[in-house]
Amino acid sequence: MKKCSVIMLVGFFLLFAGTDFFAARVQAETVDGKQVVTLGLLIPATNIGAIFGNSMLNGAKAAIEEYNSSNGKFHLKYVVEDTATQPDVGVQKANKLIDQLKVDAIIGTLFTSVRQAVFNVTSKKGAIYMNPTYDPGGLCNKYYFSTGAVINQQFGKFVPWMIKNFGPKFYLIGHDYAWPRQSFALAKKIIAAEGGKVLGEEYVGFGLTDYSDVLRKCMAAKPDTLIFLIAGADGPTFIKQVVGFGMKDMMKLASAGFTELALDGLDPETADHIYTFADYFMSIDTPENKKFIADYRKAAGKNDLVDLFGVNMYNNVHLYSLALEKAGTKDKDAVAKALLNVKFKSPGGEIFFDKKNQYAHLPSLVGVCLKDIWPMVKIIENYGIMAPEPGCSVR
Amino acid sequence: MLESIFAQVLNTISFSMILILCALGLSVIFGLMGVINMAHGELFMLGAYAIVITQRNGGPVWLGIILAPFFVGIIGLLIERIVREFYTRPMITLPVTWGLSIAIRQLVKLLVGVGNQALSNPYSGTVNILGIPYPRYRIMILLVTLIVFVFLFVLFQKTTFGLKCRAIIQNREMASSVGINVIRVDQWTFALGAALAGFAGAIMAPLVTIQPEMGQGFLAQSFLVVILGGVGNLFGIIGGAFLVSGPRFLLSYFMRLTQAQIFVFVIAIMVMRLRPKGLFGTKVL
Repeated sequence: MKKCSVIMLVGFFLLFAGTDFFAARVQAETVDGKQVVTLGLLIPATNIGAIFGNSMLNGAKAAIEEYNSSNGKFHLKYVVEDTATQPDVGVQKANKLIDQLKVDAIIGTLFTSVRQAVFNVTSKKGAIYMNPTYDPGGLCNKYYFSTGAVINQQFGKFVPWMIKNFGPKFYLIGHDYAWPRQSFALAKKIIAAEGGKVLGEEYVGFGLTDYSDVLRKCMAAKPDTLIFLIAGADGPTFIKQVVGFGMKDMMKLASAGFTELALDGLDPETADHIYTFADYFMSIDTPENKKFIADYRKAAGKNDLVDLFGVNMYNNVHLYSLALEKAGTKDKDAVAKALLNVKFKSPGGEIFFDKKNQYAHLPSLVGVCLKDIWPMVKIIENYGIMAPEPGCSVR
Repeated sequence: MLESIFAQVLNTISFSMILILCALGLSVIFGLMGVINMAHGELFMLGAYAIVITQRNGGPVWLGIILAPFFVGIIGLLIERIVREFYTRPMITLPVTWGLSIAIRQLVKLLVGVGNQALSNPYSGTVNILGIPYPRYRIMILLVTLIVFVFLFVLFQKTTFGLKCRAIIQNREMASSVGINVIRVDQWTFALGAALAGFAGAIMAPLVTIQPEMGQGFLAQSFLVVILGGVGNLFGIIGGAFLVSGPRFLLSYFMRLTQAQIFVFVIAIMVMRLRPKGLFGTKVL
């Protein structure tokens, strides 16, 4: 017993000594005479968000590589932490990044629950936090910047488009957490304003393995369109069962956040003719996108797919480095101020942060999955850059 | 109204069969050996990957379904070699198999990748049952589960292997002293349980997302079914599965799904209070 305790004590000592040593290293270095700026990347590498983790990391890596090989004033480094797609882990890791590793900015997180938790930490501690994914809005702080589409950027154009093309009757099925609930709350307002009707809505827990009862209710309601917001790895399970019940013949299927990486888990036949809305699709034809995909694949792998989450990690790193250049210092207040005055030609179009609320003005695209080009999405409508309405403001 | 209720009855039967299929492997290992196999979900996942890899190499889906139980059964034999050291302390098998489950998940992530895997449904489309379109694949699952169940019943009730298994459940020391090679039987039982998990994974693959974490959702449900049904009796699983799926599907017609799921747990707690051995079990858990 005594021996065991001694070993444990030594173990703990080594653990703490190790992290302190690491923390010290992160701060002190300069590379080629350039000051090192450290980005803390919060990635969902495990649990429900894991399928997006790698692409988010590689998106950021591609941008870091691009910046470091350009003739910038600084040298970017990064440390990666896994949020396990869980809010409590997100909080621990955000604290670690800020207090121990002393990073200059945090970029990342997926899922609203995790973002909200990390936002509380970064707001309290006054750390720059850049969010790459869907955000229902309502988070405003002078150090918080988001390139995630808020609800009006997701449904503002998509709902009228669906009413015009499919009909006025909707059925809504979403995961039971902030993003789907808040998204549907606003989507319902837009649907009502556009003369549409919601026949029913249902919220399901994470990790459900059988949706047949929920789908039966939807089929009985006979909507024109089923909008589903089923996040992460549960998405393909949901779609497979929707298609299994032959629902594609009864109604149109539409989602926001139904991306190339989610499509990758479906066979072409199942994915065919699902309508989706996003601020980026791999198939967008711009020179910036070609460069992005080439650099992304240098970091990731020859045939690796990427979706809006990976792109927005890339965009955030670029926006941050543009602000660094503009500010000429890594001082957080100077960078935060500079972030409001930079524009980046992203793969989807030129994006920039709103001066009032610090959410990004983003491209808005309607796409359809087609089996012939699977797992790519065909863009059928491009509404250009759209302003965010997050329902809060910083100034 | 009547049509919808009939549809929910169909859903109940279909989901019960899925639960039975997923819980069989767990029940065999837990019920017969007392090992709490936290790696059950990962064995399930490996079964699904077996079918994906077969399809990717140009093999037909049915070949994957046949290969999956053998492949996962062999993995089960390897796991058994590690778990064997802890048979006398069943509670220790919990962290051991939990650790193994993490290792298997990470290994799959390293070897195959973290992303979702695509698989085409070999038996898509719907058939009409009394005017209700129902997926053909789910009806196939129903039939397959019945066949597997009958196979296991015959195996445990009508063969020498089954006789030995039952003797070991009743009294391990006595079985050993009358000359039954307990170690050998344990080995095959574990491999059988693993093979069943792998088979369930392969069968379920066209219905769910195939990714390294996919087994997790099935592990908790399978445990609930086994605990409610009781261990040591295969029929317990049927009772457990219907007890889990029946209330959920019938109630979710009238209320929200989350509320129906809460009712399932309330019923489960009541059953365990009134019948500590589960519905058909032979020993108190």
